[in-house]
Amino acid sequence: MNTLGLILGVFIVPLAMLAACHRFRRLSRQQRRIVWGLIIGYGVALLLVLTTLLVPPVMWAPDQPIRTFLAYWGLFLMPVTGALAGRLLPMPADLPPANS
Amino acid sequence: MPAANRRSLPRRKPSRATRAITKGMLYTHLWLGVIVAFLVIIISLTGIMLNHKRALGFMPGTDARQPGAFAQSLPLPELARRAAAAVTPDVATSGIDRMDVRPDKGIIKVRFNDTSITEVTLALHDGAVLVTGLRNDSFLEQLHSGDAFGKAGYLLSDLAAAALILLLLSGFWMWLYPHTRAR
Repeated sequence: MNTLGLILGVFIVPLAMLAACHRFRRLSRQQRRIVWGLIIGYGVALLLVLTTLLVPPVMWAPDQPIRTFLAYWGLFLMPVTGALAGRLLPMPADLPPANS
Repeated sequence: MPAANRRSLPRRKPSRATRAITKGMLYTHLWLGVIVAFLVIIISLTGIMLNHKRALGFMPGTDARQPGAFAQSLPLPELARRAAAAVTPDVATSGIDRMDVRPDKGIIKVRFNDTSITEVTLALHDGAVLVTGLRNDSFLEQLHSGDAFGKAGYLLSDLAAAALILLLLSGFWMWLYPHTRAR
């Protein structure tokens, strides 16, 4: 099961990001927010998962469930959380024109 | 040829095949770069850390050579018993993973099977415990090769290596033909 999380995070999420960015200019505001959520979530996940893996540089033990969970699922769940935030958070109101 | 004249020469139109290859190279570079970014970052970071493992304190070690001839070494079971006595009971009960004998230095390194990978260095001739510490570089090696992610984890490392070669080739192609319109 953990391997599935890793495969989703390492391959499927970047593929989804690329597919979404491919026609970025044609996306609606809401869709762009979702894509940005995905990208920001993946960026944060990269930093967090790398830190989790390497500090301290010892094999994760059964008494470190959070570390194991982050190592395998962080790259998948954090971008998905970012995309969900982009979808669900209320959009700010349109800015008024500069000369009004 | 003066620069002004050179600029006025018409650029030769790239062939259809060249444009198709450049387009393929561009998309290979673009897509592959993002997909293998995480793997390449892990392999690069762990590679740097492994290069400096001793300086970073990831492995216990002693440079002091021990006196006594190799022929006068204590038997392996006795050295294993002394190593087990030098660590905590839970580490000792995890069992011995390997015993690494260095006849030229007169030492033996006994590595245990515990999660933290504890290692005890003993003198071969009298069994004195010289250093006890953690072999953190062992986990870094597993992360570097992909073994840390399971039995098939090495395939991730293979994939990253193959992707790096493709990234290099596609990047080189785009450097050779920078003016070819790919799209």
